[in-house]
Amino acid sequence: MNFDTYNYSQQLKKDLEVFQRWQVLIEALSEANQTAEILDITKKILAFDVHKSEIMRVASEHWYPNTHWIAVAFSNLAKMTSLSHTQVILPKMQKVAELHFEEFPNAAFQFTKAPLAAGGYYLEEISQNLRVAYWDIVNKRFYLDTVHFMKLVQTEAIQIAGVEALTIFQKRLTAISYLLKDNEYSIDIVGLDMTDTQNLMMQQKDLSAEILDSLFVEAAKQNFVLTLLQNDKDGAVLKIGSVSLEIIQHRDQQEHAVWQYDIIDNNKRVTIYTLFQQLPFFANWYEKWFNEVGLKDKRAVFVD
Amino acid sequence: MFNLNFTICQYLKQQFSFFDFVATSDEPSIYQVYIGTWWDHRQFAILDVLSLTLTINKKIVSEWQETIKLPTGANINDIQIREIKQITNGLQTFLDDETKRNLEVQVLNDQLAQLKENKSGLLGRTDKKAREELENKRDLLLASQQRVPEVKAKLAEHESEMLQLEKDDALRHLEIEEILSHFDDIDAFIQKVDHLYVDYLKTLLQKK
Repeated sequence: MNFDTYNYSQQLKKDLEVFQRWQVLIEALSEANQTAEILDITKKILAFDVHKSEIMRVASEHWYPNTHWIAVAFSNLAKMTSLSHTQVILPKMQKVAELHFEEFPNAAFQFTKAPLAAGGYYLEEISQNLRVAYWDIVNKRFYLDTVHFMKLVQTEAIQIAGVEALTIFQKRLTAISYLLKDNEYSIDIVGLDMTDTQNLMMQQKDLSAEILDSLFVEAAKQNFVLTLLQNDKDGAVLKIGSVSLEIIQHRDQQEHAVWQYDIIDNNKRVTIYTLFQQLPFFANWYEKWFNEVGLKDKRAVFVD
Repeated sequence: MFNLNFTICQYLKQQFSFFDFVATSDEPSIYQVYIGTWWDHRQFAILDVLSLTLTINKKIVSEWQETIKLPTGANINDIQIREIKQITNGLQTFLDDETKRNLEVQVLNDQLAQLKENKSGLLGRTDKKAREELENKRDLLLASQQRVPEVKAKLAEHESEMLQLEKDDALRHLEIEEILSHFDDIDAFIQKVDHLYVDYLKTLLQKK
């Protein structure tokens, strides 16, 4: 075969252009400080096909997968939304960055690929393997995993950090979801937003009396009293200091009893997850009757 | 009637602030009287405003009297709850072993398949004995597995029974606590209820 030096040099030039485009994207990500810009660049990074380079090949420990870049992009959003510091750490011999949020010094988070045809990534706590959220940058979706997050807030690392740390973290995630919502994202962070802690719908209609009996008994064992709701509201209320957890029943058009949680906190600092963390009996009851009293979330995207 | 009802209920509320009155729809002079406003509070008495009588549920009162004789923190249903708990623990252990049993069945099936493959071997009689032993073991495990739905139902039944007993204890505890925060003892409270008619009339006369 004849070797055409000119053609070879032209292919090299094309390959270098591919890598130059890559460099421009990474530099842009490092400098981006506007949500739309961060999202746009990240989308391009995720879609970037390095195999367009034909003769120059990447064989280096410094080549990172998409889960790494999505973590970097998320850290940019996390830094924009909280005064509490976010660190991007690349552990030795690892290819994916870990996120360390100042409020949780004993926990580390990373992104993993969701096993879905639609794509997307899970943000999860590494040591417990518990998901926080699903982020699909292509189809613009950001959903909280209410089941895993409920378990996460009860883990030792998060318990040790305390209620104030959980407040900071919830505020941070809520603020990120607001940023994404402003960029036409579909958002589902049920129960997380401290300014929106009412009308949290339960999965099941027509709860049996046994379920609230069970909460009454478990609360009583911890010297809390589940009382009947007054003022024409139907249901029960648990008072925890100045905070009230109301469990309310309505009738829908088909005359089924629809149940919801309302958390009443004038200081707007307590969510249902704060209560899961602070009241183990409530978290245990929630887990036991999860199929009935669990929050409705976008379960379909969370695959185990 | 409305005024009379209102006046009597108001008087009773002054005397027993922890009473909750619920009007009956078919009998305007009859009220159901509950203690406290907690979940599933029990009806303690029936109030007839015309005869000014408060007919108390004697069973509830005797339960209180029985409870206060027990050591602090103990409840009437403690023994029964403990017994049921033992049963439910056993049932739960059986259910928790489901995965282990499934794995054992799988292992036994693999061993049986292996024996089948080796049947042309020289150890024919030993093989037969080993196969029978394995089959017996597997059948025993499968029989256990078949009991799972029945055990689950039994567990749910016992848990439900235990919940009812715990609820009754919790209700009694709250009722007693509420009464003792207003009266020296249960007898003093009952005495006050029994004197309701006389006390109310005395109050009316004093007003005149």
